[in-house]
Amino acid sequence: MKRILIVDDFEPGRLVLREKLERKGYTCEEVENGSEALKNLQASHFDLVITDNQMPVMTGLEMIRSLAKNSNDQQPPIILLTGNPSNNLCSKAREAGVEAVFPKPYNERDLSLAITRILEPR
Amino acid sequence: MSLSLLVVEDEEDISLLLQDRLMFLDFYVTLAKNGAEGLALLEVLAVDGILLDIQMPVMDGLTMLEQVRERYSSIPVLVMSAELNKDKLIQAMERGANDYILKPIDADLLAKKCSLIFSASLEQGELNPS
Repeated sequence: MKRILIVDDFEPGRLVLREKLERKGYTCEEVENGSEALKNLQASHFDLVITDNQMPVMTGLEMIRSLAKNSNDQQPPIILLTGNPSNNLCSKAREAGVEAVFPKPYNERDLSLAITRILEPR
Repeated sequence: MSLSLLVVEDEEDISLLLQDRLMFLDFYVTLAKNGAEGLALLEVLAVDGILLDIQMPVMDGLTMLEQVRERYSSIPVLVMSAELNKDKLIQAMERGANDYILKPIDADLLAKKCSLIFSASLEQGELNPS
């Protein structure tokens, strides 16, 4: 079963994603910031990370950069959600290896398509 | 193309029934238990329409409707309530609800109203105010 790590400090945001992903048959873990996410990613394998950007302690982008710098082996694909989708942020995210960036509020259909594309490639 | 709906309803039996029905009609469905939860979800999720119960604890439908109209003027809203709350339904229409449906909800009428109200917004290009 594919495992997804959800990273968001906003609880309703985590819950709604979790519910939708579990209904699709994925297993989910939730954490509240980038630093907790790094710990989880070191401890076990995930097939996908869906992370908010703006979070206390460590932002999504900071977490992604740290992951890219420190992990020797393959890192999981990452989807970034952001309330402020500036061109600057999007290009930084791309440089750091992010698969897709979605503005918040995001569209369920678009996110769902991206997740399927990443996790169930034909 | 499937549209995405937010259903705000405190009674779980009803919300699960609505979810089944609407998913069968090919809508993406997200459930909220009251107006406050509904508003929180709207910060995360862009929806094409809201199915809103009037009588709920914590934050009722009329209050949520007011907030929705303030923040997301263009999202179509279908309110639902029992006939005995006619006054509240009228207030909801005055506050910008697009239409109403009476409880107990008739499945065929629900399907018709949802496709009319929510698909119309698609044609007008009023999706996702963000």
